[in-house]
Amino acid sequence: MDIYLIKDYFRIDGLCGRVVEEEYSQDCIKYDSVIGLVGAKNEYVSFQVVIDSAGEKVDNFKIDLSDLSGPGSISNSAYEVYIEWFHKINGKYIPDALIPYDKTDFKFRIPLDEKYLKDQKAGALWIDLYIPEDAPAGDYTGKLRVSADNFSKEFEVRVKVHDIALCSESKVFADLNAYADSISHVFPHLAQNPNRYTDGSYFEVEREFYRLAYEHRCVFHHLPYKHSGAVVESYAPELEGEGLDIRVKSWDIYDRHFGPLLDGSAFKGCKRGSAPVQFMYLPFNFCWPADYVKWGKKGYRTEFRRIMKEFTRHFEEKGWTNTYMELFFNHKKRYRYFPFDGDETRFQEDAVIFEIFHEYVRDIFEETKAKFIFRTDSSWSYGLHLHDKYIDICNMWVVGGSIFSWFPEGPRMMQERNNIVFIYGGIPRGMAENLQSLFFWPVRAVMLDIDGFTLWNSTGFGTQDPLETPYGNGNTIYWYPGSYFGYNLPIPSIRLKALRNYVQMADMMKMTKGTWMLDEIKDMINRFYNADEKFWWREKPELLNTPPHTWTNQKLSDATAGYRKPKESPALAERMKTETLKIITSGR
Amino acid sequence: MNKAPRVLDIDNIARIGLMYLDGDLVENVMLDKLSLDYDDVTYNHEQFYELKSALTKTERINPDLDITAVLWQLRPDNDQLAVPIICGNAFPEEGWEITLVNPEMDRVFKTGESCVKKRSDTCSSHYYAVRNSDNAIVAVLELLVGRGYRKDI
Repeated sequence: MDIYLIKDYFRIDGLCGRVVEEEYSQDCIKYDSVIGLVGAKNEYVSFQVVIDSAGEKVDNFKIDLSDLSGPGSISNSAYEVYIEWFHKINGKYIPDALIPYDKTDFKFRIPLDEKYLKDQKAGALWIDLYIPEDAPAGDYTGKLRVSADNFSKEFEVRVKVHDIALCSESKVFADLNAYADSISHVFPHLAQNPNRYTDGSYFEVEREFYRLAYEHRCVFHHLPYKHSGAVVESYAPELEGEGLDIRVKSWDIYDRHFGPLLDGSAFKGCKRGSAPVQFMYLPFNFCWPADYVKWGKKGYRTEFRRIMKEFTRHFEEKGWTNTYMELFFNHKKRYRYFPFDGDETRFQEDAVIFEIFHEYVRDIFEETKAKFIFRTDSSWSYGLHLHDKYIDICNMWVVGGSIFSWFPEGPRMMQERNNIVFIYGGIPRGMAENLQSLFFWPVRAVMLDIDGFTLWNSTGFGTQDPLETPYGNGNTIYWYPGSYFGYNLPIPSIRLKALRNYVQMADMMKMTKGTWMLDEIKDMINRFYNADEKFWWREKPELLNTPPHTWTNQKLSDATAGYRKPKESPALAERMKTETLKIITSGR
Repeated sequence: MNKAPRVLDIDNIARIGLMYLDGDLVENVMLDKLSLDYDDVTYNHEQFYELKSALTKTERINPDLDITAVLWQLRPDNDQLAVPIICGNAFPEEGWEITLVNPEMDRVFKTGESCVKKRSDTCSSHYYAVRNSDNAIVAVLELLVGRGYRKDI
């Protein structure tokens, strides 16, 4: 039996007790008596407890965490403990799902579960510590005692709190995208309930996704309609009439669904304070609220505009004026519902729809106090649209990262128009990947001077059992249903925790915007990646001399073939954070 | 007792729908019939609107039946492959991609006679020939009934 602590950027293979990231195992330090953490106020810091029983069963387990004392006191209630659940990936037991230690009846043991993990030899716990915003800066220490059957061990936890408070609002938005309703089928109590959209049970579960995202400095983004244009029940208000008589019959279901997210009350109790969700999709699409049968006729425009106007008025009356409400068309013509692509326009003749809908909503969006915006997701045509009228038509751009890197002029041009820019795509992020693959996203947002990044699907559970081997090795899952553990809400993952920790660092970096410190930070990042400007901004390829509709996936792949993806030790995250804190504290 | 009136209903719905589905528009609505890359699909926009509108109206004739209407064509280079060229309110059972033509649909393409493919005790696909102004069969109209949900991504 061995019990030790490790930092938050490595993981332990539950099958053998070795480090998952074998290639960098020399960087994984086992702390036998003292672990040191560094952080800012209003920031989470994390570490892990590993219990390696060498295959012996463990039935009785206990963990005690003391208050931390230093220049002030940090209560042990600032700790959150999670049992790490292991998934079978490539012959390993990789930990990812995190079961809240004190919110379920599920107990830590080895093996955790005879059905799923009968060969488990090592277990682990993830421990979050939230450093309160009012904690005086300085060095804190506390005790941690772990008992597993007849074996017990005591550790000292040292936390250096810097005299910096992490901003509560996000500077780098980590967008966890999803497609409604992609959650009911993994929660049996929802799947079996035909009234889930009206009786509040679905709202309760979905809201916890929003809360988990918010608490982890991410934004949960749930697209409210299908490719056909059908809006998922409860994601739009009930309408009546048509043409000049169309109106919202009742806001009841919409307000019950989204009101708490839009007024911020859904986030009450979150550590960084409650605030309205930052971004949300509107239900508007090619088929709602206007009847697509009327497309091209004046009645289509009438219906679209009348309901949009009712939306902005309703949002103003409710005071929901802090959330960016996105008019976004996800439709793709390859699915045969519509003759043009609303998403990822590749054929230039399709882009006309942006002009059409912009004409419908321009005055409504300009007049309202609510933040209604026109969003486009763009890759193929980004370079063309950046330099034509569409840069002024669309206010929010979610752009494929590789193509984005061909246009260094992009961020400046977007900022001049107050456009919001996210990037997406490319870097693998399944649980078999080094956590460094997640770290690169927020760092890239800092280096490219953009607003955020989109992980295109965060609830892609598919039909595989996520507790066994998640669909796609988890590359489209950042949380899990807690139902198996008697907890009918979503539970977080190690990758969600890692992402939060990395976004915290990116937010801290971006807090220095407009000062010499950000330049220092960027230099530091370049040193760590052995990179220069050409690493972040690529030379424009020959491909750009041809129209996007002639680009094949192969041509795109060839154009980006030489791009080096960073392959670094997971420990890089800590090194970079330490340097960032040094730069900022010296700057103060 | 229940089956005959229901089938009759669907046939009548199809008859009305076919009056508004212009075969000449169907014939050329998809501009790149030989492309195998689904990202390459391109349409004549105006013709598409006309046909989609007709499909949607057909679906709405009897809302109780919750019909999904789909237009199918055969690939010009391989008549064993069928392509759903326009979907109404949902995908057909085969999804949105190029698929092997099923025997019932194949029969409609070859003979022009309508045909029913039973998919389950409650669900069936009713196929009807769509003809152009030369009276040539240019597509098949599928009316899918009884699925109980709308298939999408």
